[in-house]
Amino acid sequence: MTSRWITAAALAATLWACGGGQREVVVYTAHDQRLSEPILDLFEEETGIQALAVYDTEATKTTGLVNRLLAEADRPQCDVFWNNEIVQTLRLVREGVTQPHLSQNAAGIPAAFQDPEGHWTGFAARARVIVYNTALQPERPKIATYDDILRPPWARESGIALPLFGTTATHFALIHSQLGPEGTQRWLDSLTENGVQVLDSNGQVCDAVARGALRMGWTDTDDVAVAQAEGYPVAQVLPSSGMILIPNTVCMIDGAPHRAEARALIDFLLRADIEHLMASGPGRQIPLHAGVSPPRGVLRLQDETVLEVDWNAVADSFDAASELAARWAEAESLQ
Amino acid sequence: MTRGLPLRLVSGLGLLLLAALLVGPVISVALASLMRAEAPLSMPPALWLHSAVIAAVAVTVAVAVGMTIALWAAHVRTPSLRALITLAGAFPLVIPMYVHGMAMWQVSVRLGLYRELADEGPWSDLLVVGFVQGLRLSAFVHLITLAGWHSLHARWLEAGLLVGPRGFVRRRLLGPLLAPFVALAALLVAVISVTDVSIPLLFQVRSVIAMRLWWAHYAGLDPIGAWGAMVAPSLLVLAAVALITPPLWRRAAPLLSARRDPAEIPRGEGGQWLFALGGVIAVVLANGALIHLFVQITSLSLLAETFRANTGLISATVTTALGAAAVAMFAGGALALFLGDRGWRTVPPLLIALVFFTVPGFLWAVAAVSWWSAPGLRGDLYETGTVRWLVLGGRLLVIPAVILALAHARQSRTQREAALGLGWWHRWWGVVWPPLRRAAWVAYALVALMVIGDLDAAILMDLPGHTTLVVGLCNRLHISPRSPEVAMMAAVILATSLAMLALPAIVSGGWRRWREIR
Amino acid sequence: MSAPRISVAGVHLAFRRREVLRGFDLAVEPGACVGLLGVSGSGKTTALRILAGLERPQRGEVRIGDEIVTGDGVFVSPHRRGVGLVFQDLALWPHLTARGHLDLVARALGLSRAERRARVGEWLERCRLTSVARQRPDQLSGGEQQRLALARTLLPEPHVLLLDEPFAACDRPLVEDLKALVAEIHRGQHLTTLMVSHDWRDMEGLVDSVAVLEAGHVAVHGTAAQAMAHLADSPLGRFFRC
Repeated sequence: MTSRWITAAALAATLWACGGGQREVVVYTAHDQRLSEPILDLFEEETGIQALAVYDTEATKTTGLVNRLLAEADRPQCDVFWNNEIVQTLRLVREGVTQPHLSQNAAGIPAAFQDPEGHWTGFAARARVIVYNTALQPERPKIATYDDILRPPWARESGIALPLFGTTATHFALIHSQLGPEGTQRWLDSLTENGVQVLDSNGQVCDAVARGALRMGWTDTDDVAVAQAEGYPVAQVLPSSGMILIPNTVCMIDGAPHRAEARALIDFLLRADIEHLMASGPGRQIPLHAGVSPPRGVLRLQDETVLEVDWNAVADSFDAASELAARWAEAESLQ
Repeated sequence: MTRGLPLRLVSGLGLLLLAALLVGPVISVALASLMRAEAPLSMPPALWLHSAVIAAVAVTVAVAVGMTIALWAAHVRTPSLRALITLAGAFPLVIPMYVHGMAMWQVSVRLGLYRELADEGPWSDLLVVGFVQGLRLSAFVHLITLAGWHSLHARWLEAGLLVGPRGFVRRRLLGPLLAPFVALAALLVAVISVTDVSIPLLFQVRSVIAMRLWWAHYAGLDPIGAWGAMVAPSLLVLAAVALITPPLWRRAAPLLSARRDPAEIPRGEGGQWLFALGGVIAVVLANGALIHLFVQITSLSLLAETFRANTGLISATVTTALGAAAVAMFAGGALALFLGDRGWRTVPPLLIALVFFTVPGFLWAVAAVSWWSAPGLRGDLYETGTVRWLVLGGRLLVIPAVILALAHARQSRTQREAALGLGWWHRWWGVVWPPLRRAAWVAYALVALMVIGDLDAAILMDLPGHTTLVVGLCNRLHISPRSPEVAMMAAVILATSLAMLALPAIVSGGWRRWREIR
Repeated sequence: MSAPRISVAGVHLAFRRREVLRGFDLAVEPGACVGLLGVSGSGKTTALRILAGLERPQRGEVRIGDEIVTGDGVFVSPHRRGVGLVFQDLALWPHLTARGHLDLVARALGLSRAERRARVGEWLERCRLTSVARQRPDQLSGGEQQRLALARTLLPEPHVLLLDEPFAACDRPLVEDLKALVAEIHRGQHLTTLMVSHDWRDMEGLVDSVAVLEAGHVAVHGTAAQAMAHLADSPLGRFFRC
């Protein structure tokens, strides 16, 4: 008898899990769950549309969802993809997984951070920065380019993440698009020659700098923010030649089951006040809307030099760059 | 040994290797077509070597730890103590591999061990990875060895005690009798160790097969493909299984069909309680330390709050694990019963099921999503959310299949034949099922725990709006690994897992039977 | 060492509050063959296990020859008692062949390879197992299994032979065959033998005296006629096939 009740309860729970007649939108998000969840809650509160989210994790280098979207291309389940970077989004655009939506709320966002056809729009960015340990390096280092710390005299005490994943992969693809395959190979070889430490993620680089195992390294603004919030002696510095800005991107999936709701969510995410909210959060995202003034401690777009990046060229280079990085990393680890 | 054994052994191995050569590529090509493969990957021999080193270390550590705990549990006569040790030994399974790795990483960094070891060069990294994996995977060895122990007859060991001292009995009788079970567990550990990416990722060991596959998958080198790489691991695993299985089966079969009572080594000279208690404390501490060393649980109210705040995650986890375990149990159980008394012919289907298991979770899930998410009936079913049960359960069906096949083989054919006059339902429910109940419980527990901890597949299989605990935990872990919130989430996972373990026991009245048996 | 005297005095053993043996006393003279008769659950098997050292009683003393093997603060390991036990279910090792069984036992004695081969060959021959030496227990007939269990027990040349319902699962012709083998070995090896059964016919012609076990203690120990007389008066008599 007990077993029947439990079976019935399990079935009921499943039906409950699958059912529901409310308006809803399915969003896959590679943005940190802790940062994106409150924003989606706010969306639900304001619109009454239930946001059914699927989250990615750092453990899968936030590319698991891109692969899921590609796998689901013949029968999409997802309406909106909220990515925490741009290159994988461009990959989806090229695979024909997205459909255009030109949001009015994107008007204040610079043209460099949106697709003219509306397949994707950027918002709330992270910057690539150089993090340094203030105990080991009390003076703010003078850095002209990102590559400065990968050369003597700093190289042996510097670290970067493996250029296969996340924003470092994007950064590396940018290098590849500028230097070409041979130049990039030389760049990789110089890492070995100069003794640069290559760790697995930006988080690990920041952690190593925070603990004093490294003097400085490449990472993102949000990682520095987390380390500072935990009380570690770290600070960030931007190259004087300009910073690389990597925006969150949002796109609508082709064949989305809930189109109206998907548009509503994209419009919501692209609002200036949401950018302000994201700037105020622990991720300290940099607002792209011209009129948004971020809280103290967050970089202001107007005050900094931003490197102009041809993201399509970066996306073109991405696969070749990854292949190169993988082979280099493999060769390094086999030595 | 029978006279014709070497010839039979060689011909059997030859046939199995041939099957491996045929089956491996077929499965790989099938997966490749599902995954829209593009280009094969290179697999330098060094990658194989490194993976083999890690697997060897993992197997050594897992067998040493797992067998020790299993023999402790078997040695103790007090039922409550025995149950405690058994649970403690199984505990590492409750912790997802990634979380276990994070904990070990934190511990080793804090103690300064990791850097010291890592500075010794890449070989020490391999040893560290194998060691960390082996500690968690010891639970498999523990459970399977204990299952093996229960299939022994007390008199077999007593007959040995009459002719030789305890050490002789352990070495010459207990060891060989348990060998098939330990070998099976070691094989499982080796397979999981080779295909795991969590620990190599955390400890920055990049020159292993799993990482190469993982890079191919996640770095988009070979979009969703990696088929060329799949051929080689399939063949390796099949060859290894082909080498091990026939002798294993030959040794296990007479054990399983023999009459028996649960084995007991006679009481020791004294200090048994101290010995057992020491075992419990050591095991619980070793496992508990994994989580507690890098977090601080602050208060019960925070724990309650975490439970309240994560009811959605808990229900998603429970429904996913229950469904997947049910699918694995039904499919694996049906396979086991269908195979029945077919002797060596049970091996090829089980081998194929094992190959499915060796395919890394993320590749399996992507292939499955690609196939199910299509226009028409398949897609309709995919939208209901039930496919995740089929996919996760399908990958793990080898576990219940093997466990139930072993349990079924223990039942004498005449016992079943004696019930031929009964209807099929009464025969099944009254005769076939009761002896399988405990094995089914163990199989269910293993599958449910593995589903709960399977992060790679979770990303690809979670229903929209129904994130599972492991994803929730890993996201928090990434942001602030030392926060009380992470500790709370870990505690919630443990509690949910334990509740899931208790469920079938309550349903089947297993707990009452367990106590009766003791 | 010649056949020893066995004496058991005041043995008590309880399993979870259930008393199995209560003041169990028994003396078996050197070279004698004694039958222990009793209903199921009367403690026969437990008595044998205590003699063999597989159970430790809560109270009482067991002597084999002049040595106390179980007693107050004394416990001699089973393999040092010079005792051989044939289990009721035989307890053959399922993973070993007939030869493998005997070889393992010979190995425990520390014999050299040549000695082992000779000793194993001798016992295979004596118990008529040579033709099935490479078979595992599940490939042997009932009689062959019984003979293998006997051979395994006798190979170390024990001074005391304990038989626990040795013919329980055999038909009459086989029982007679095995009884002849046991009788031959008992006399030929100069053993002190204690045999447990619930069936008088299994003991008939084999034992010198019979002890009747009732409620955990020996009610009578004497000749077969005395035991039969006791059983005829006892309400338990109808349970024995006399």
